[in-house]
Amino acid sequence: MHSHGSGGAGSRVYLDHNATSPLRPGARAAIEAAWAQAWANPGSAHRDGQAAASTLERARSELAHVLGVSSKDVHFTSGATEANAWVLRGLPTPTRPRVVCSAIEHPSVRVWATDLLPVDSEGRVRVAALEDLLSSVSDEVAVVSVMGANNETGVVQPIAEVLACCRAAGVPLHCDATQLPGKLPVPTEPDHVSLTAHKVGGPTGCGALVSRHPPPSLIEGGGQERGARAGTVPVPLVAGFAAAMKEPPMDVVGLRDELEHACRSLGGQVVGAGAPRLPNTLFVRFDVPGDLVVIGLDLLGISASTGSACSSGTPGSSAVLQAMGQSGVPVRFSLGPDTTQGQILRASDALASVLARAREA
Amino acid sequence: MRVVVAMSGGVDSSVVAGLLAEAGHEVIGVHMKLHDVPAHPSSGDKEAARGSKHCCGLDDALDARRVADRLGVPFYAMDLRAPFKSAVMDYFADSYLAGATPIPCIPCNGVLKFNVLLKRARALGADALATGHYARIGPDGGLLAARDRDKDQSYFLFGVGREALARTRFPLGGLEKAEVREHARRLGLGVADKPESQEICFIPDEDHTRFVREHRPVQAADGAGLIVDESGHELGRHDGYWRYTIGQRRGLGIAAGHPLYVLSIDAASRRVVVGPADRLQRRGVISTGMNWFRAPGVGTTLTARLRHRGALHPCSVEDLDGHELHDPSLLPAAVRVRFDAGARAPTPGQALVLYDGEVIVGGGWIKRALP
Repeated sequence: MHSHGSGGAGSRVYLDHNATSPLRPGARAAIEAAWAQAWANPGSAHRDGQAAASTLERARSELAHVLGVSSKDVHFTSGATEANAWVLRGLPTPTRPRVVCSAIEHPSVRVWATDLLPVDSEGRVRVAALEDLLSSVSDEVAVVSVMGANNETGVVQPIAEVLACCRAAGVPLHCDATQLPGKLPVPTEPDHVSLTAHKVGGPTGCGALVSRHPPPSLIEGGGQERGARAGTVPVPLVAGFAAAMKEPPMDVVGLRDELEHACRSLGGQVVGAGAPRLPNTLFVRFDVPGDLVVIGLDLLGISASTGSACSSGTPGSSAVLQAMGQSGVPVRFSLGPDTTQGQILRASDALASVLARAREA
Repeated sequence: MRVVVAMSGGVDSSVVAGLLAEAGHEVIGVHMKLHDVPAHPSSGDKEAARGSKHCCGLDDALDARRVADRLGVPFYAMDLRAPFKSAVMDYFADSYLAGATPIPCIPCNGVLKFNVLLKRARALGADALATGHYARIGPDGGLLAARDRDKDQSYFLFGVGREALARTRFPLGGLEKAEVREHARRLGLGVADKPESQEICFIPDEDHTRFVREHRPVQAADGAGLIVDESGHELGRHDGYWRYTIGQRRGLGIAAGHPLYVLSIDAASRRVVVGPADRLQRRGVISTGMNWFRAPGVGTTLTARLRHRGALHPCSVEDLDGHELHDPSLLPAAVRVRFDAGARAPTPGQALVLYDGEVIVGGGWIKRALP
């Protein structure tokens, strides 16, 4: 699909790392080594199983070390969606039924919400609204869930303030930190943190819930993960996840700003520009519908998106943008660790020609 | 040339993409997502088995993508639900509520395909938009009936302007349906034996009254009134004038010595007028919103089509002041059309399309029937 990192004129330029980032070399090496040496069931007693168990536990402790948590708090899952469901479906009780989340959460969080917190015009959750809510009904709230940074706008959420608010009310905080690894430090103070491997250059199909006290198991029927989550852990994927997490964070803010400058000079309005954002993300609205821009760019070898990927591949109007009181279909560019200046120049040129042609029509 | 092909996933548009790609054109496949109505409204019944027939079902989008993969052409789904809702779904319900009988395919063509999608195709640098319609574009840039008269869809295309047609290709207009299926087989597209889609894609259960009731609940609830004869005598009551269409016989719930048919519907008074079959025979219609491809000049033998696949009625046409239409620069938006031998049940809301042989002279919307 794409030629990763080569940057040659004939190769594709991949600027959709917030959807999935291609495997990083270290992750690929770890996965291949694990398929060769740690392929067995880590629950088996024999030496093959022990080899797998040792790779699994090494991955767990590496991940814990990167995050600065205890390795017994790391529970592997099939991805962030499962980790989100585990917490948000598992915590509510008949006496504490409420799940409070921001209006810009990923659908896999929003689907469990009973109360939505508004965001400001820059796309940051309004902490005052959370304070108000918790001051009246905190004894009914099972959990508050606020993402680390938004997948579409890249706007970083005020997790420390949200956490202080939750602590004061005695309500646990869940943080979907899917977009943070490789870009910004992952906060570990929230009670429950969801992660996924494929946004940070690990494989698809694996993630983790970082939690000292995870709720009752979502998937039952085996003693894996010390009884917290049933199902044989895919050891090679987990090894790749840990290896990807060990890579240094990407240093692309300069390139992102170059692309942002090019977009502005082409008439683009940057969404969330007034708030702290992920260093790799640019969500920008033009006078041409974003889905058309994305198609035009794709035909010229540039992969971008209109925001969150949808199962049908059809872009709808963005719920994130609506929560910000805005409309339209912007374009999301999300850079990766190997994005080059040449690629940014090619993307800017392609964007200029796509917009010019669309405006002529 | 770079050409966008509207790919529904059916055999016709798949063959269009195949033939254009084979001819060396740069094809871009586009599937229009038009609505969220599931293709399988209720599992386990006959609808479920027919689900893949519907033009917008997920199965069809996947078929279209498979065809594009097979041809090695880029393919994109476009979310056009918002314009489809306003131009087609709202129109459909509002038309019934106005006492008329809508044809959703016409605004779907006129607005969605040959306006919204055509503009999007141009914005992507395409020289043309190609669709699987059975119709032809003449050497003068006008509209012609398809060679396969059984499949001809020119009736649905009367509203597409010349400027849009200049950017349009109908590669199937000169082919028979059997030939199209043969091309599908020859090109290995895997859709050669898919059944035809006939019914309205956003009403898979074909229950129009349910759709109107759910789409416009307030207005639909306020439709009860009288069933009367032509002299205004009450024969019964109905619970929604918008449930009826001209020429309808069943479902009136009136016992009479002879069969009764719906003759007219008055939305303002909520009256449904019924009478015997011979009163459905009309001498002509007033038609509005005319789109002209040429003047219906001297020496042309005009015929009028009043419904899809309906008969061609020999006719004459004049403006509302009774003047004949000869000046191509002064063709009116509204006309009076007289059928030489009358026509059965011309229905407000349906299209009136004028033909001179295989040439489409123009078309518009039936506003009302003349006595």
